[in-house]
Amino acid sequence: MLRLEKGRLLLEVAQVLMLAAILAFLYNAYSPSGIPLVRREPRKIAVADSVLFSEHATRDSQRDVKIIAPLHESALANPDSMARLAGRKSESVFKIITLQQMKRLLEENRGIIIDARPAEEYKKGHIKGARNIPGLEAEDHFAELAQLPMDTLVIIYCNNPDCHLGRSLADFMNVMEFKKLYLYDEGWDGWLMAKMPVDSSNGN
Amino acid sequence: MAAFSNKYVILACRFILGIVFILASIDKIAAPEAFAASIQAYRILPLPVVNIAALVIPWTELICGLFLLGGILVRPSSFLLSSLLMVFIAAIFTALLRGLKIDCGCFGTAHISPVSWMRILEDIGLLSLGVVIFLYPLDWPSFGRNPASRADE
Repeated sequence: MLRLEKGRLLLEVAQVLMLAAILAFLYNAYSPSGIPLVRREPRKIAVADSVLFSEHATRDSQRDVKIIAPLHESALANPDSMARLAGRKSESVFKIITLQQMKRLLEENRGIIIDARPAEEYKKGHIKGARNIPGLEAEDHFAELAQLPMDTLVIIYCNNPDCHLGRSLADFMNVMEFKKLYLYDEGWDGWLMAKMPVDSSNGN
Repeated sequence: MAAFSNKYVILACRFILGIVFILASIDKIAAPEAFAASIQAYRILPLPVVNIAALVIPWTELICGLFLLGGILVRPSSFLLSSLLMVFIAAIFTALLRGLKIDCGCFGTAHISPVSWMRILEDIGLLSLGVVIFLYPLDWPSFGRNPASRADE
């Protein structure tokens, strides 16, 4: 009798689980924010100084300030499609910069730095000069980002290499067609460890 | 223990547990990538299966939550939710022991809250509700056919 009870319970549990799994996979297949079934490690590559600090890049960014890519314009009219594309991206390649490169970028005052952590953490302290766009709220900052030239040198950071917020933001900005996106992968933890200049004002 | 078999007590347990899990599931279903990232941050599951868990766990929460409210398959639903809670407790506990400073992902990313002993206490509280329902799987009032649990009474 007891064994029968146990058997029926397990059968019912399996049925409920099956129902959940079927609904989950069906919904995922048709949802705009669906994800790939198999998760992969994000691909990260290092960036050579010659690429990052090339004079050519600087001149380019001055010349092309006013140019807005066509996809970018159509996306302006329909921000939802951006989110869809960003959510679908399954294998992005992230360009990683080192602490040394980060230091030099700051010294030469190149590019803009974006802190992708939640606003509360940003307020407690951030890399000097960084503005805050939390990785999960990228869409809310679409208008702000759209004002920037697409070849602006952008450095995004989060807490540490495990943090996904920076990668979410990079994915989003990549779909917006930003050309020069870099991740400072060691992030806030690495910055603090290296005792680099920080800022705790709320200015954006 | 008699108080726990009171049908209003059990109904209240089902109601609370059901509502909490339905609320917890909605944001995770809406933003699976964020929930997958939360799971990954615990560094417990191997990477390839993280997304599967991120898809199936919220739907299990939603369906079991609805079933508890509706008095459908109350026993297996409470069994599944209790099992999930035990997994969550173990995950948060080990995360705290390993000193991981991560978001618990408990209610998706709409309500960010770091892993803490408080989260464990909450989950233990919910688990106790789940156990009460499991032991006294009263399906009154029910919107489904549950011949099984009637036979137990």
